[in-house]
Amino acid sequence: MQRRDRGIAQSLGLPLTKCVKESRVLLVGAGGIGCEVLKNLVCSGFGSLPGVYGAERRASIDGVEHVPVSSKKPGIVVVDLDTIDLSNLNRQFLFRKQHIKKPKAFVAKETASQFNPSVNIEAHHASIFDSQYDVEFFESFDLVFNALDNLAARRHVNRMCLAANVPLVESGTTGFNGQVQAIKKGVTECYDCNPKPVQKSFPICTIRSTPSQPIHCIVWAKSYLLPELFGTSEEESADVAVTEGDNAEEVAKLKEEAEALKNIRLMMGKSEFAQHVFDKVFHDDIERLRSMTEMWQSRRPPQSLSFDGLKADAEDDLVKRGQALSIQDQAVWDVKDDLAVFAYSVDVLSNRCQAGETVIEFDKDDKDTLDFVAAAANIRSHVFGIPLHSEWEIKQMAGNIIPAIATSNALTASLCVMEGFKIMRSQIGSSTETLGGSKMVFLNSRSTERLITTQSLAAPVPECPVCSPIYAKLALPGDGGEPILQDLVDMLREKVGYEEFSITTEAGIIYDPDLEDNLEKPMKDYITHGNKFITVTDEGDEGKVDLVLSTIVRSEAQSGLQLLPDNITLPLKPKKAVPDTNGHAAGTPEPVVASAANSSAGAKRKREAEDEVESAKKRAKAGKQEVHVVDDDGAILLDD
Amino acid sequence: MDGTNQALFDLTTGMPLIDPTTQNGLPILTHGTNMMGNNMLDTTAMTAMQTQAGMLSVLPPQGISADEIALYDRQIRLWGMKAQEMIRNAQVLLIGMRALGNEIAKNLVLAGIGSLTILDSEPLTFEDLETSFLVTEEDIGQPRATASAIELRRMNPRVNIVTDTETILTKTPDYFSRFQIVICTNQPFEMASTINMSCRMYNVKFYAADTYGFYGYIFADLIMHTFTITRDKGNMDTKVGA
Repeated sequence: MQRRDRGIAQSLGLPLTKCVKESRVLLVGAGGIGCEVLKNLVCSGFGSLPGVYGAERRASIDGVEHVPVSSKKPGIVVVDLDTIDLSNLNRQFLFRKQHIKKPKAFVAKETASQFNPSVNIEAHHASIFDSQYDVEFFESFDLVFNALDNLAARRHVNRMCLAANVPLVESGTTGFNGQVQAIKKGVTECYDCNPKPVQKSFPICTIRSTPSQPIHCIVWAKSYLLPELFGTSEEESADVAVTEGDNAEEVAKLKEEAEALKNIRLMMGKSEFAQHVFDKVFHDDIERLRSMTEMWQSRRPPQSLSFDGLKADAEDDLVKRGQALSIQDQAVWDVKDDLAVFAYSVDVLSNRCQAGETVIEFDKDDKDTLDFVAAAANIRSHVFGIPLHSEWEIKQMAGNIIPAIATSNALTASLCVMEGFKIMRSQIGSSTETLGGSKMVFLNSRSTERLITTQSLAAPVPECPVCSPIYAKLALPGDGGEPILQDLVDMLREKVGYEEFSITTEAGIIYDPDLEDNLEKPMKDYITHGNKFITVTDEGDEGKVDLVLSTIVRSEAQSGLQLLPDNITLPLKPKKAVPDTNGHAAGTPEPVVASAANSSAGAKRKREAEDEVESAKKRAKAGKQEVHVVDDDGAILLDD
Repeated sequence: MDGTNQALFDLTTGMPLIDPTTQNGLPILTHGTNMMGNNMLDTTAMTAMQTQAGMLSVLPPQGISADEIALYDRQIRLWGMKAQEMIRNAQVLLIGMRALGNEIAKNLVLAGIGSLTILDSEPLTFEDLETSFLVTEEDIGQPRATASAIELRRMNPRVNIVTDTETILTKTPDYFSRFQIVICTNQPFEMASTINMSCRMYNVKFYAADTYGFYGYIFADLIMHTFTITRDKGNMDTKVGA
């Protein structure tokens, strides 16, 4: 008998194939990784079997009737808020040129559906932060795949999956590299167990007074000059921060400079506007900086420019010349060219401002703002003796563009679904290993050794504020009954055994032993339903872990508030771990992986053991700073 | 390092990581025309600067249009304009258009190679549909090569897709001489070996690959291949010793 799913059935075996077909999975993101993951999910048959869901429909595999256990409706749900852009087409292969500007989720569904007629795909053109994507939404899935491109969304989905207790396959790619990691509450580290690098911000003095790299000039143009002239100048940029190292006097002087620029802004519309701006920032401000001789004792002082001096004897229309140059985004304009583009872009942006655009912000795809930033950054670079760059390169630095290719995404997406299979086989109990033997997987295309390496998944960090709490649901009655905060407090005392505790929402503390003002307020005031959380913190000596509640509104009537599950026992917060001294990784605790991993010795696991030794060595190296600490009990830690 | 070692290459494209200073193992001439008859820019005259991202800033070679730069923007930012130019000129032969062939073809076409010739004499079967996402049920019975070419052309109209539905048994060694790279999938050892030898005769780079469920292999014979390993220089000196 010919069957379309022979490949997957032979590779996974029938029980796991059945599980895959009946599964309901969520794919967050339909971009680089998303398109490839969706292709893999569809071709593997995820969600392609209409199972028994409410009704009495029976399905047949191999001629044997069976009734699926799960009540979840099989299918793949894709959520993406973005629309298609030309630059996506080099890798997001579900999209074609005619799809540009259309929502990714819809087009992805349309194209991928053709790969397998049995598949059931639901597409949402929405943000995963929307309140409709609450805990119950996430609970409806067997598995969630992240295919995102930003930290905030990853954190959010991580938290929702922890709250819903549904496994998450997290992934990412950068250039030639990629990474995949499964996350399950209580079993593995969550996304926030380890701190992630924060977006870099530069000290204000580096940006405004002593730039030394092209990026400093670009941030100056994008986050200072552009907003001052065409945006809301009051806004504080995430790129620039007043740090401890900054001279307070200098910071004050810089504020004065910004004030003076605001006055020049009033001249917008006059033909001399560009000249006044130019002479202010590239001459007057520079001359002021030059006068601070101590600043230039070990640095090259900036050389000021004047508009007329730079324009010199150029006869042609500066703005027109700038317009022609702005098309050549691959070429590196010299400083005179930059002057022309500066004049041109100031003209264009001024017109937009006067036509009614109150706030113009930098957007890498807004050519006018890009022209302005490129020209201004280059002129400033020239002033400070920093090499100039083409607009194309500046676009990457200013717009935080991450280079991307099809193959890294294809490889990473394959690894995602592989890890997905492992998680699913653990769900149907056909594996004795933790999470079905799932690993953290690294793709390093430029490695001179292995292209793909793995590492055991680590156990959760005990003090992680995101995954150490117990998550539960707080059900509010749908009609009638106006529970007040006091009702919640009483219920928590009774059901969970709290004595002294505090309650926090996004807005802050709403109750604690010293704050009883809000007890009569209706719970409705604090429930911004959907996907926000209420955190209960134990203030007693015992120190129970936090209890985090997501709220759901019941459609039917119920008596007052309800806690789901009804009885909750909160474990105590873990004490701060003292590093073990087992003589191996000196000074650094071995990650406590679930016991199954320890029992996995054997010839077959040799490679995995090598990986663990490798990573243990790395941790030992990283912890070398702590090696020479004398332990409390007098034992002296020995170096390896 | 002799070419039969697994040097740096991109697994799924089957292509070596491009070293922009060589083509077919020979250094690119810095003046005049290269062996393919393309005008090459004088690299020394260009302003090549290292940016913070470590990119090289060079004027686009003649040939790559502004539209192409816009389409390939994200990958040019990774491997540079020169590599994209070389990809754009590449003539690749792909033998076999089943699951593996679908993936390889997709990746090559998205990258924007010059031309992809697909050699497969077999008709599409129902079971092929599971993993051949380039085709649909309506294509059953059609030669796999021609059926999948339609979607590939839509995926990137700039790539010249050539299909060859003749059996591989009729191909004489000189057939392979017109390609720079030959990727041989789903072939038994003897056939793959014979093709490898033909490729060697004409200095054509060769890959053999296949998949079996969760298992697979890739074999590379690049004959002679030079490449560069770059390492980021640390901010601090590495101390020698423990």
